[in-house]
Amino acid sequence: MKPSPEIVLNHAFAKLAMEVGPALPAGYGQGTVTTTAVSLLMAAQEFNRAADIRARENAAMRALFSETKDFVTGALNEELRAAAASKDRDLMIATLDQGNASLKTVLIALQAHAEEAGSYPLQARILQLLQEFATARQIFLPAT
Amino acid sequence: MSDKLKAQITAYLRARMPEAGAIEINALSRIHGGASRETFRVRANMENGGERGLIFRRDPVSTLIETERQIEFAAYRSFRDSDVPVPGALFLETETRWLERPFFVMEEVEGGTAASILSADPYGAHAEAIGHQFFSILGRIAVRDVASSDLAKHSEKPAPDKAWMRELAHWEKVIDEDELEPQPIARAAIRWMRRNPPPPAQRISIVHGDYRTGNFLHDGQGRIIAILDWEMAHLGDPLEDLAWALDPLWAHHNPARPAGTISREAGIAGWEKASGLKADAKALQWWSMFASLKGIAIWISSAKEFQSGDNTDPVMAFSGLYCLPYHNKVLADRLVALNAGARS
Repeated sequence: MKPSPEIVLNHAFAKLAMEVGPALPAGYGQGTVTTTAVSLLMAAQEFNRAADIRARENAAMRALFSETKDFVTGALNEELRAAAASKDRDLMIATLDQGNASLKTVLIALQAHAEEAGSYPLQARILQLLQEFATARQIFLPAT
Repeated sequence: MSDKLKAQITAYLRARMPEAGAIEINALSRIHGGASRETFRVRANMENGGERGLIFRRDPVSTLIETERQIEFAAYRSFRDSDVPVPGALFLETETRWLERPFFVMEEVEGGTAASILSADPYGAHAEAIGHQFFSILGRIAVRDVASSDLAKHSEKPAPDKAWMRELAHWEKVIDEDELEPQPIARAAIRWMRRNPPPPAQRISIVHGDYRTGNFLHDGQGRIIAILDWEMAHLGDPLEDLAWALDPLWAHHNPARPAGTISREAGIAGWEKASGLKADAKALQWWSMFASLKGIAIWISSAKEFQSGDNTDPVMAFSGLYCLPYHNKVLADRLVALNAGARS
């Protein structure tokens, strides 16, 4: 698709923030247009990376569950096995999000289990993953 | 602005302020921001009294923060005639016959501006002066007498060792109810906070609830002239406000300078001097975790409102897209550091 959605959104941001907004009287209309423009800028940033972020997170969580499933018993063991073996049907964002949500639910349970069991290496491993996830999902906005 | 709203406000003011004589609205405009209320600036010409600036804060159909306007009104009233600068809170109307939704009316504070959180240098050469006032005023809020305040009539006073519990439970419930997807970082933070409670509050204070850059007016010459946005006010541990004020999201891209003003150390020292209270490091660490968690809860709610179409103000989208990942990163970094510290 050309122009790419990212370019469309970036140019729409520039048009609204740098031409339309300043032409309006200061106040609610101008502020709303500017904030809307910034939303487009953020959506543009997310467009390229959205599938990559989700696919990487899902793969990392499945790998973690696969490695740890044998050290956990009971219902959580079953959840880990099922989650480790799960697959994303396709690369649509909605599909990846659905898988991501299921995997994160299991991750929350595994992390709580690691804390209760006093398993520091597993806790550290999960926290490191979460930090990586959070870093990758940050949105960067230019200072004005 | 609609003629209908103008007529409604005119009718209201004529009924509410008969002593003013004939009243005409000279100007009516909506103010951007403040997604928890619709805010309107009114310039009213009064037969007895001349032109007067008023601010109308009306409940929206949907709100970012589900707060009672009575609480916010009482919070403003709690600081009238005090050394904490606030606009005068005039009337509270819970009936819907005037403007279709409840609202309250305040005096307009003229000649002030509020900073955008995206601004890299919001206060320029006045950053130091603004910073010292910012933390000093917060210290004075912390020691305002609670028992005699209007807010005490509307907000439950927690026991000093229970304040953290109540706040954590409140915001955890918000996350439970509003999350659109699982939040592993927030959940890990909540578990950490329960395992590592803070010391009891030194005193129970009026907590502003959203004391930060952008929520006060300054005159552009280095003077803070009004503290605004009290919609999350309550009674609790004063360190809650200090931690929120210090949160990196409100630091204008430089966490070493909270609120884009002075150093963190200078800010804490100013707060301690003005309040006579101590910012215990362990307690402040807990409330700093809480501040970012509370942020996450608010951003989750706003994202949900926008996603559902209940409130399509772009501020709600901004909160979900920018603020939520930001606070997730802050909390994740803190959890990693705490875990490393616990093992060393």
